Amino acid sequence: MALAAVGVLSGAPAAVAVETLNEKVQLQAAMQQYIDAQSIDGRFLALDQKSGEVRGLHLTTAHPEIMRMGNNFVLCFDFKDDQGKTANVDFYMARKDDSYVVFHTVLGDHVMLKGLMKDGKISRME
Amino acid sequence: MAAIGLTKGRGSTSSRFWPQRYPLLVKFLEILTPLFLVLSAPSINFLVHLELRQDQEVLAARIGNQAARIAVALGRYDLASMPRLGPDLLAPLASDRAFLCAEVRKGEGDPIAALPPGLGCRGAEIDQTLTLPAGPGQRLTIRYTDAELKDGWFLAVTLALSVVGLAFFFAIIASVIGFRLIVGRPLRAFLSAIRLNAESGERRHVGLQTRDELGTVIKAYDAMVQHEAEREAALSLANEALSDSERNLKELNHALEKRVRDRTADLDAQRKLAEAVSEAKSRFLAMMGHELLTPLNAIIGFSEIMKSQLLGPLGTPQYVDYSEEVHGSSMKLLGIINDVLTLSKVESAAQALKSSPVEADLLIRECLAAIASTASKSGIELVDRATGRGTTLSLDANKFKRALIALLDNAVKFTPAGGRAELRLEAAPQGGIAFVVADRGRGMTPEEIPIAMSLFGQVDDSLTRQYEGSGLGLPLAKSLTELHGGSLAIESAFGHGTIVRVLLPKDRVIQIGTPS
Repeated sequence: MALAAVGVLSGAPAAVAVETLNEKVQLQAAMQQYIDAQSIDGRFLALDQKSGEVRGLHLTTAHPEIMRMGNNFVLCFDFKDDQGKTANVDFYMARKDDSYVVFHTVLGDHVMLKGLMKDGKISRME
Repeated sequence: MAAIGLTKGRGSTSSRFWPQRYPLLVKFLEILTPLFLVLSAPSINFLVHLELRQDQEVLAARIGNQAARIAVALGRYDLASMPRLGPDLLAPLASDRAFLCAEVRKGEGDPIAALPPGLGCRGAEIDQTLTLPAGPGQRLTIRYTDAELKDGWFLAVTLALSVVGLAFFFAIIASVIGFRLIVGRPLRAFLSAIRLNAESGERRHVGLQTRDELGTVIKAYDAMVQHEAEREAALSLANEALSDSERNLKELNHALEKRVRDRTADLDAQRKLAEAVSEAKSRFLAMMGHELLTPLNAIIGFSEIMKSQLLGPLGTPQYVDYSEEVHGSSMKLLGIINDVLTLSKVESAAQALKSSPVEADLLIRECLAAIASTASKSGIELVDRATGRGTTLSLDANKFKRALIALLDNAVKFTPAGGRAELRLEAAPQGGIAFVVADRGRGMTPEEIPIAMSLFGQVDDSLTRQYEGSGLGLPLAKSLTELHGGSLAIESAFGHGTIVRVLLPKDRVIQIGTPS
């Protein structure tokens, strides 16, 4: 048991590094502010590329998982449309000065994201 | 052959502490335990890491989104004109222990809203800071802590170690139980079977069927025991067969011994009968010889008187010739009768040897002298090379001399006039000695030699007519030689003469001279 404890404790400092916490907090906050900035009357407008319609979405829950794509990041947010149907939006973000900006959004399509993950270009942010 | 049950073997170890009872298990655990812990450490670390990352992401999402929403809400108002609104909007942050404090400033001035109200971040522990725009000219600064991550990490580690510890404990228990069931039980049965087999010689199967390595070993052992049992059974059968064979052999031996006894008895009876017949023959011959010799002596005596005209002249000269013929024939008849009587005595073992030291040289000379008259009449030269000089033998002189004279008589008889006959002494194999009678006479073919050796066996009837004789010479010589423990060896070639060797054994030699 002592060996196991030593092994576990030796890996702890790396696991609790606070730097990534700050970055994640800033990313989450930047995404939230972007959504608010892009919302009209409380509705986030997004183009559904499959149906070719613009959908007004109501934000519900932010996904805690953040993906890293080189120097960029991908965050995800759950919305509901007017009919209460869940819609998922991926936010592709980049660092700008001391903050982060959204440079691309994808509504309800994880194909590209899965493809990038499969190619190893996207991984879970530690 | 039977399967053995699970019985405690000799020297039960139930009273001992289990590590002493199961040293194999202890060794197993000695390997398993550190291996388990070493392997489990990175797994625990990985799991804790995953848990911590999850917690961190959740915390970041909570802080970031909450702070951003409040910043957005604050941005909708001019807090300077509504001093009571700011603290109200900041108030929800107080319910989250991750937030330490918050301040809303406009420009570089004092906070226009603060959490805790009226205090803000003054004197607060400086941990992590997040600054967000909150409307025109306003910015929201919040400080938060990752203390719950550390708490979560400790909790996760504690939980993981507890789970691992518990798992380890159950693994040990399971290992002990499993070891006893999977290894201990078959091993005990195996050991009991081996001990039983070793102590009693009884071939018993272990009788446990498992599909693991131990099962394979036990199966191999059972197969070996089976093989041993079969081999012993086969051996037993072979022993029985051997016993039967031995018994049969004994019976056969008994039968054979009985047959031998019977045959010996038959032979003994036949021998006795033959001896009786031979004795009767000898008695008959002796009696007949005596009966013949009596009138023959009279005939010889009177014919000798008549031929010498001792009592006065016979008158007619032809009577003198007749009387000489009668005397000569009587003498020959006397010789034959004497030879027959001698042979008879030898064959009936009635002849006893009277051995004494005999000078070989003298013996040779006497033999040659005995035959000299006949040889002279036939124009045969007798040769003596003085080979017997210095040699002394143990012989019955009279009987042995008769044998040599018989051989010399044959040599003279079958040698043409002008020829020569020789009697000499030679060394014989194995320290013995040989008298050699050699002639340059007619000789014999190899087929004729056995005939000549038989009684009255002259090889050719024509010879009987050509060479007078009874055919008793060789058999008589042979019998007399054998009476001395010797033997006769004949070398003969038709037309080239005959060499007869009278071989005497070593024990007949007293002193050896210088034989050629």
